Amino acid sequence: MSDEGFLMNLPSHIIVEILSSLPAITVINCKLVCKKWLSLISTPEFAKLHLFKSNPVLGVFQHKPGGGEVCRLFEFDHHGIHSDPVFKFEVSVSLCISHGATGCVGSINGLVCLRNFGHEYDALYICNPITREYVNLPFLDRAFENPSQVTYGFGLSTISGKYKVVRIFHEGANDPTTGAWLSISRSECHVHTLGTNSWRDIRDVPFGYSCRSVGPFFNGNLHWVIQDLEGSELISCFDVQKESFHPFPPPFPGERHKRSLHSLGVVAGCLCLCDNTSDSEIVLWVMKEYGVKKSWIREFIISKVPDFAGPAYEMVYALKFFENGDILLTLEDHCLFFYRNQSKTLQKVEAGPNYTIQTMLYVPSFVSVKDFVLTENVRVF
Amino acid sequence: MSSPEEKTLILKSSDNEEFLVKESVAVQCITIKNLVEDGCDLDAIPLLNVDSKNLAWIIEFMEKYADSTSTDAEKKDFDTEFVKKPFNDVLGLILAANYLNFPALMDVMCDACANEMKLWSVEQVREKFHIQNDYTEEEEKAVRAENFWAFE
Repeated sequence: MSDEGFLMNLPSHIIVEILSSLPAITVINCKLVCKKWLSLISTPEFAKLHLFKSNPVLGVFQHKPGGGEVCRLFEFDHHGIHSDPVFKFEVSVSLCISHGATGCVGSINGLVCLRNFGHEYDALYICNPITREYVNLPFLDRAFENPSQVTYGFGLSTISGKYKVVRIFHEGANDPTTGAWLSISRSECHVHTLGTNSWRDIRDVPFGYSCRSVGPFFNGNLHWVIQDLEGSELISCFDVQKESFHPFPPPFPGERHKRSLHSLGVVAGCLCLCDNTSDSEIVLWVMKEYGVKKSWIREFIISKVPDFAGPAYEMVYALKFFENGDILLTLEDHCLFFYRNQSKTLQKVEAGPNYTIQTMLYVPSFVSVKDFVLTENVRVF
Repeated sequence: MSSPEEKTLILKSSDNEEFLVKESVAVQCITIKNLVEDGCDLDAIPLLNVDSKNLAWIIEFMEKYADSTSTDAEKKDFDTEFVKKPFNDVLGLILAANYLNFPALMDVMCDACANEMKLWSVEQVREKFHIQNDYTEEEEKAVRAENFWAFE
């Protein structure tokens, strides 16, 4: 029985099973093997299967000295991050952005929502760095006055399968020392469904949102830590399918805090709140059962002194829990650092020039923007 | 009088070798599970597309995975050793896992295959899979150009 005989007739679905287990860059290499493989890789079915198996990588956005941003993507291993990026995405150059600063609103299924802070208007993009496709979202016809706070969220309506971007905008008065809202004169919320050509006005927007807050998407909802006008902190939850807000149980009692140093994220399949309010420790709360207040557990307490010259007035974001108990975190927009479980210390990740960074967890995929937007509106870089 | 867990099946490979396997272990292969549930009353279940070499390995894998006392760490160590086979055998097991509809084995073997492929050049992939390059020089250049960033 010739070994080569059966190999030359490997059924297509077996080839797809194998190729979908590969990291994205290797899949692209495999496009060159033969035409059959190229056509197998180019189907939405392949993209779906590959996405299912794809493991998240760390995306680090960095502002470049000459202007613009670059995003480097790093693979994880059991103990940390690979030192060399698996690939580099020139954000500003690829999207033809020539001014302002560009940050990440969120990432789902390999699609990334980017926000460019322009002069008077924000410009928003949805792109897939692997397929190199992107689309400009329509402008929202609104100039921002001072003081104003705009925050965005990127979500997926799990029932309809539509991707949506949410924009929340407030005008009002802030306390100059604490940043807390004193009064809000106007609140607006708009939602854009990817593939349509406009933003829809959603009337009911409760509370005050900080424009620096990132709203993680989880379980069909977007979540933000917000304040009411008494200064109490709450979590607001936006149902992406129903397009409505409702309160969400926080781990902390609704006390008045001087500064909001709570960040939300999704780690190890749970909603996670990272509390950096204390001078001596960082507390990580994990919501073991989504939506159940009692399931918030103080999972990790990281002592800040004496090793780490405190991230005292900054937000800390939790990114990943490793098997050995280590934790990867981001300090505001400065740097990445590890909590090393064995030594119980904090260790900064040296990553080159210390230009402002932003991090995201990114799942490489071949999901095509053209599946959601008319081909003529999709650009390729 | 044997309880269902103790029932033993005879699996017959394509080269007519017979293997005794507990039913509770063998039904990890959905193909076998369906045959049993449909009331197959043959003395031995013929597996026409699986030879004895592959069937022996598959049974080894099934028994490890059916063992409730083995921990996740132990299974991982087992997998690491199990996949250390020549590439043609890895592909052979993938085909057998597909035929028998055995998802756990399929996942482990596809991952192993993928791990090897990560390190190969395009030419090596072609060689290992015995694939003829059917691109013309221009066509190959065009695909390379479109994806230049991944080849850097």
